Amino acid sequence: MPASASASRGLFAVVAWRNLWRNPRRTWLTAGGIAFATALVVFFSSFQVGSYDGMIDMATRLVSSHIQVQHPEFHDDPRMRYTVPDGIALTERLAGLPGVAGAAPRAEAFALLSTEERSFGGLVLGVDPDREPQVSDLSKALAQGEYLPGPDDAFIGVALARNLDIAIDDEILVLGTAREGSVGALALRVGGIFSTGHEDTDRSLILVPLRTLQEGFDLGDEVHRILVAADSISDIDDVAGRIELALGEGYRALKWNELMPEIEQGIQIDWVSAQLMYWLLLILVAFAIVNTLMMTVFERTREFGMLLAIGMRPASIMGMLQVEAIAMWAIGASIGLAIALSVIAWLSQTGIAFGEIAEGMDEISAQYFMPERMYPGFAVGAMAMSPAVLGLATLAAAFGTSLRLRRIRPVDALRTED
Amino acid sequence: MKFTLLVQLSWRNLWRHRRRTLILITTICVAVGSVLVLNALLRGMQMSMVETAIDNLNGHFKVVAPGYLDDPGIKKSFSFEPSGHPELASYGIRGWTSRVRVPAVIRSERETRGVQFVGVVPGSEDISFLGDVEIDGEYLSGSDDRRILVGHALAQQLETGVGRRVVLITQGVDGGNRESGYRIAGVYDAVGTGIEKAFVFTGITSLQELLAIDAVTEVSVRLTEGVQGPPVLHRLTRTFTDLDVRTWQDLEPQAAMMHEMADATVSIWFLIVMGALIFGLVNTLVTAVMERIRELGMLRAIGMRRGAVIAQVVIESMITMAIGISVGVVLGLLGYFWLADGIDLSAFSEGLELTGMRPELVPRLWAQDVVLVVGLSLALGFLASIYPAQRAVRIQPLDAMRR
Repeated sequence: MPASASASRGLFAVVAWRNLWRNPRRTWLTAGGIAFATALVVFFSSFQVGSYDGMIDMATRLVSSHIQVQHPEFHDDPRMRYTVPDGIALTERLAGLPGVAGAAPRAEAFALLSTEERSFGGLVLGVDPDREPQVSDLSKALAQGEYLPGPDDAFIGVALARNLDIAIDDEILVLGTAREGSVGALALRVGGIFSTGHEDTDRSLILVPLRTLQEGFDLGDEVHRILVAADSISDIDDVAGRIELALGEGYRALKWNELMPEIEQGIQIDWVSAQLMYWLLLILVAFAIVNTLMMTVFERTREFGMLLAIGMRPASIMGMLQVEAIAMWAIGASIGLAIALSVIAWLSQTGIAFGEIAEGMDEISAQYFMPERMYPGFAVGAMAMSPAVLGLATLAAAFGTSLRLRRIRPVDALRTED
Repeated sequence: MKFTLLVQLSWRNLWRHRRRTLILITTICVAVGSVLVLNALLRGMQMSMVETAIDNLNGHFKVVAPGYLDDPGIKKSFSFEPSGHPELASYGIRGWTSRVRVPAVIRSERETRGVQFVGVVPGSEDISFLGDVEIDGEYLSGSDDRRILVGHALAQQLETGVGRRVVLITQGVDGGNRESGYRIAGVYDAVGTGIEKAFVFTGITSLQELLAIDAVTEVSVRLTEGVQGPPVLHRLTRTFTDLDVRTWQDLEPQAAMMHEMADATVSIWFLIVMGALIFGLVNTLVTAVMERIRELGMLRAIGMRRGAVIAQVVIESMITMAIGISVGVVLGLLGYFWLADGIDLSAFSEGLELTGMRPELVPRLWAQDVVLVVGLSLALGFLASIYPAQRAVRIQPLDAMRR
């Protein structure tokens, strides 16, 4: 009889709900534990996910961009002679692919940078002044002067300028090894100084117009890298696939995680170590749930004995206990989620700035490519993990503790004291 | 009422619900044990970062000329006579060494790179990473060795190797370029390619000759293990009055910041884990009180003092905690010894290099951390018993017995 079956199911739910509130203190304490763990894990993992996107974005925008096309040997062994031959034409072609926000060629050479007084070693990047801003933020980090106004102007890092003790309009001599092993030389004027906040970059880089470097270092019209920026980080894999197809033999396309494996590994280390902590927290709360359910079942031995005596089947009682446990979990998990999500929603408007948490943190975080202001990310998987694990633990605990019902003999149970 | 009797009562009460108490104790064990293991892993990371920072030619302290850090160069050098400071030996110092460090450009037939050219006293570099790197070829024979050591990664980039010649270009005090050819004595393998690409070593007197100076640019000091830094810093500052004495924290602010953050992380995680524990603890204790309302009422009626009722609940909580903590500490120690040989993280070596960590994580368990965890857990056990104890004294004997 379907009608009575659904009626009895409704009755079950009502009875289970009432049972839950026979001891409100206990229900709240257990649900509180579930809420505590859920809120913390959801909040922290959302921030982790958010910070990873920020890190990838910061790191790729700094110098190396999302994808690079190089000579097959260049990445493992960056030598002058491993060039991409028809760089300019290829750049045009790559820039036209769907999903590509911009592409720019680059040639590079390690060289001795000298002024009259001092000299330092540095990496000279020959860039296309018009295209470069599409793939990196170096041009936007302008601190003084202008960004590459003329063919003999250099754009240099602020720490390098300090080490060389030079200012705008000063002369700088670049000496290195040209493509065929002869001496490569450039005489430049400091046109602009950039400050990215990333120490290594500010201390070692000098940008010059691509043609200037190619002429001074016998490169002809060859380049070392073609940088490609995708429309968004999530498009990188698709775009890289399209680039692979567009390229023939003799090229290699590398994605950001191959160019900067330290970033991806740093993310993996952070994620794995945080998961360890989250699981510990969830296990502890699961123990608390088991204990609560056990107390609930033991206290009601007499009641269960009575129910069995008047003909209720053990399976029905077990079902009722499951409903009670799940209701308790639902209360805790939704409170926890509500707290976490409202904090996340609030912070996704304002963000958290490291500099506000601790003095000096912003400078440090720049070295690890952490953005100045961090925003939480929405990762459904990470957010669902903690409620799901606790839900399964609750079901398992309810099932395990209710197995005791099979051992209750109505006559004995009715004799026990409450 | 006598304390021993109370303890006995509490003890028996605990075992009236064996399974419940055991589950609670297991939870405490898991919490304490894993907090200790996590703590040891975190301390391991922290120490790994600190040691890398110290090994990386810094030492615990470095003596430099005033202004050297802002503008490192040969102009900021000073004369230092190692034999002129015999008192250093009594400071709790494991060793010290002087160096000349200048920025330079290294050129092979094929390639050019920028490096730090460092003149060292080979015999006393056991205080830095140079003391125990693997070297293909030979180590420098002495301060006047005119050959050089280059890193493995740099040698690859330069397409050169042991026995070959390279040119180093740097600047003298007068600002003019000094250029000289050097034969490669050995190629060293450091932890992390960053170091291998950054440093080229030669004998200190041979570099001084090239630069035509008789001075050094830095003196690194390494403390004996376990010696406290600040008093030594104080004595060094008084010894070298006209020079700057800098700590490794000044020299490597990133590592110092990470070091402080690790301290904060340890305490935050302890609080979170214990926070999760307190829900279960309070829950069980309150239940234990509520199911004994009748009994507690009776005890009060026959003259048990309020204080004794409170004491009983508190003692029950503390006994549970004490057992859980003891077993937890043993579990934590077992976990620590199981991992003591180190965890191989070389799959993440580049990521670790970014944070200045070594690819092998060796956990460190400090006695002071164990004491702290034990002490705070006991305090937590006390805190958790306050509400249930309050609940217990509120029981009115008459009401309770009527139930």
